Amino acid sequence: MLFFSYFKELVGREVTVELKNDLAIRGTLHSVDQYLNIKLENTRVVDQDKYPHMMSVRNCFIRGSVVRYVQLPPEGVDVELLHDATRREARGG
Amino acid sequence: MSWAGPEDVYLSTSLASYLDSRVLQKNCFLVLKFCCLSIPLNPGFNVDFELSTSEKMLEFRNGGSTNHFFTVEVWWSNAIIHAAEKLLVLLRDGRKLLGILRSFDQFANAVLEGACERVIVGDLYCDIPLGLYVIRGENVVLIGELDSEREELPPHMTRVSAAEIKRAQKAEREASDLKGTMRKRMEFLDMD
Repeated sequence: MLFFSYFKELVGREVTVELKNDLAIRGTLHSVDQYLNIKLENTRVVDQDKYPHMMSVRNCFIRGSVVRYVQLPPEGVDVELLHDATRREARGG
Repeated sequence: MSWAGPEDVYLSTSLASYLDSRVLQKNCFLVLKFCCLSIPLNPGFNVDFELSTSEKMLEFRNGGSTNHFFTVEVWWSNAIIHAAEKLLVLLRDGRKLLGILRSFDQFANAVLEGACERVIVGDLYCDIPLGLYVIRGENVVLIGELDSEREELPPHMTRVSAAEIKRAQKAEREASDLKGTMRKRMEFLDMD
């Protein structure tokens, strides 16, 4: 549940979601759920020419299981805080 | 599954929130399978009611102000949303389906009405009609809402017949197969 809470903090930020089929989509994080399904708004595909069918998609729902990476804004990560939280989780607290 | 707290309800519904007020504004009603109930969802229509007492799954809230429409939080899978919105569904095998979303659940299983597959080969494309499709959620990669004000495809792409696109698809597949076998034969050169 840690990364779920973490992603909740990122709502409203601009992120790039890279999928397992190599499609990379940039957009504003609108919402996220416990499966880490993601909804993006104002989306644009990074490699527009390769994926012409995505041209008119303005907002989309991405299934969590197909996400490979989520690229975050640098200021969106508080590394110290995340360290502490992961340690706490590993201890089972 | 037991009834979860309001927070969990919201969180388990990103697909539902995908069909957020923007979609629902355009639609006239929502049908609950359980109670055989149709609820008009006109903008400005004042609804404040809840079905969450037992295992029922829908909660309606009025946004509070007159120009803020409903947020509809769908819990569980039994809501059929009559949405007149055209969607693009990308599947894991790379297929692109277009259609009108009629129903979905928490696994992203979805029912598409009037579905068609958009085959794109180079600058050619074709919409092959398929009819009513039930898509198993695990095959879904992405569900996108198509903006009706924007062009669906770049202007240089041309629409061709189904037979023609099949031919182009076959040619493309053969070309990539050939490339694969050539590479295999050249492997001894150790080009890396």
